[in-house]
Amino acid sequence: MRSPRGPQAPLPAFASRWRSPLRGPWLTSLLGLALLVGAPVLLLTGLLSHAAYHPDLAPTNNTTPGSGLLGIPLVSWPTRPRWLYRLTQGVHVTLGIALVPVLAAKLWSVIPRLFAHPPFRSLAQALERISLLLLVGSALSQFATGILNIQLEYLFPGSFYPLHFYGAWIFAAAFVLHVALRLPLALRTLRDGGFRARLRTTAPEPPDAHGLVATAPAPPTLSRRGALGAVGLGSLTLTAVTVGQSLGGPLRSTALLAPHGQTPGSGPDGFPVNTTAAAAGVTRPGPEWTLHLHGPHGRRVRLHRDDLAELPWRHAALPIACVEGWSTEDQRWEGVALRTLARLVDADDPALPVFVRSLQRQGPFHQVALTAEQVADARSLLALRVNGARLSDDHGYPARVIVPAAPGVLNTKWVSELRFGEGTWP
Amino acid sequence: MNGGPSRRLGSPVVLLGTFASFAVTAYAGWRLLGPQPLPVALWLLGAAVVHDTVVLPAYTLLDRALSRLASYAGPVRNFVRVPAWLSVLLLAVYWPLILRTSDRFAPHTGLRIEPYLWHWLAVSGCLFALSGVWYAVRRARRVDT
Repeated sequence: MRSPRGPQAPLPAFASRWRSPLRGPWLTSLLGLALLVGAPVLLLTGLLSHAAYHPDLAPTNNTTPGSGLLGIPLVSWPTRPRWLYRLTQGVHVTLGIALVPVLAAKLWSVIPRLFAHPPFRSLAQALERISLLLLVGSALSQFATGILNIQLEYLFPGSFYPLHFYGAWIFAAAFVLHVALRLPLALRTLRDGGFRARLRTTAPEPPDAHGLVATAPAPPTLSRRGALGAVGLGSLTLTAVTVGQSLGGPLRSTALLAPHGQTPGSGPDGFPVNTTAAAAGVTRPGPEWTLHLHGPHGRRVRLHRDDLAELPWRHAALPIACVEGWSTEDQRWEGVALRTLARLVDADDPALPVFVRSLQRQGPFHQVALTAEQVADARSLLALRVNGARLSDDHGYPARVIVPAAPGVLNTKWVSELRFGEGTWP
Repeated sequence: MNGGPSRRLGSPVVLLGTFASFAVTAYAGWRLLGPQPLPVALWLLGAAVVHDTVVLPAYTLLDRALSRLASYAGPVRNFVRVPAWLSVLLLAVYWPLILRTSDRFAPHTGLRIEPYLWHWLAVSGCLFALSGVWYAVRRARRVDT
C-alpha cells in the first residue's frame, strides 16, 4: 500500500484474546458486501418514507422541521400504485430486522481492529477512526431506534422521527466514506480469496496487515460455510417471524414475534390499528356529530351522518400501511370521495390540498394535510364503512380518511373537519 | 512525497473525503442534538461503546462457556450453538414484546402482549428440536457407513 498505513497488529495484550480462526479480511469483505447491498436499500426506503409524509405541505406533516437541505423530499409521493407504501415501508422494516445478524457478524469480524496498535499513524487515519466510531455508533443506534419504535418501547431520547432521520444522515455520511476507502480492498480480497475453497476450509486466512487474522488461533469449531450459514439462518429466521405482518391475509399469523402478527378479532373490522380510540382519548360521538367543510372562498358547509348518506358514495379497495412496517391487504372501504366533498365548497376546480382535523385532540397527526393530487384521486375517500359494516371505534367511527399509497398516519380517523385550500388552514 | 509532514498528515484523498463526510455529519448532527444534546449523543455513540465493551465480550464468553460445557460431546457443540444463536437473536430484537416491558403496546394496538413469550419459547423449542433431529440423523448415517 502506498499510504503510510503500515501494519497494525492488535495490542499484544489483546492479540491472544481474539482467537477465532474464522476472522480475516475475506470474511469481513463478504459480510461488508452484504451490508453494501442492504444499507442503501434501507436509506432509500427511509428517505422515500420521509417524502411520503409530504413534509413540505404543512408544518403538521413535518416531523423534522428545520432539516434544511437534508429534508428536501426525494420525490412527490404519488397515489399509484395503491400498495406503494406497503412495499417500501415493509421492505424498510423487514430488511432492517433481517440485517441484524449480518451487522452483528460484521462487527464481530472486525473487533480486533478496535485495539489496533498504534491507534493511528497519521492525521488521516485518526480522522478515519473517528468516522468509524460514528459509523458503528449510528448503525447500531439506527437499528435499535427502529426496532424499539415498532414495539412502542420508546427508550430512546426524544421523538423517534428526528432521531431516526438525522441518525440516518450521520450513518450515510460515515457509510459512504467507509465504502469509498474500503471497497477496493474488499473486492480485491474476495477476488483473490477463491470463494468456494475459502468456504470449505477451517484454516485461518493468511496473515494480514490489518490484524484481523488471529495470531494464535484456537482450534476450529465451525467452518466458514457453517458460520456464514448461521448468519444467513439468523436473517431467515427473523424474516420468517416478521414478514407476515406486512403480507397480511392468512400469512399474518405466521409473524409469530412481529408486533402486528395478530389481528384484533375477526369480522369486518378484524384488521390491525396503530392506535385504538381509547389510547387516542376519543370517546364515541353521538348523533350530533357534524362534519365541517371549509372552502377557499369562505364557503362553509356542515354535514350530519344523514346528509353524508345522501351524497354519491364510492367503493375503494385500499390497504392500510404503517410507518412501523406492518400493513393490511386491501380493505373494502365505502364512503364519499374527498373530491365530492370539495365540490360542495367550490374547491374542486382546480383541485386543492386539504387540511384534515380529527376529534382526537392531541398526539402526533391528529391533524394532517393532504396534497391536491391526493384529494383529486377518485379512490381517496371519507370512509364511513369498511368491509360491509359501519366503521368500528378503533377504525375511526364515524368517519375516516383513506388515501391510496399514503402512510397510515395520514389516513386520519375520527374526522371532524376538512379545510380545502391553504388559505383556510389554521 | 513521504517527507515528515505529509507522512504525519496521511493521504490527502482520505483527508478530503473525511472532511466532506464530517461536514454532512456536522450539518445533521447540529440538528439532531437539538434541545437535549447529551442524551442524544450518548444514544448515538454509546451504542458503539456498549456493543464493543459489553455485548460482544458477553456473547463471546457465553459461547466459550457453552462450548466448554458441550466440548465433552464434541460434535454436539454446533447443534446446540446454532439454535442458541437463533434464539438469542430473536430475543435481542423482540425483547420488549417477549419480556412484556412495552407498556404502550396493548392499549395502543388493542392486541395482547402475553403471547410473545410463549411464541418465542415455542420457536426456540422447535429450533432446538430440529437441530436435535438433524444431529440424530447425521449420527445414524455415520454409523451406517
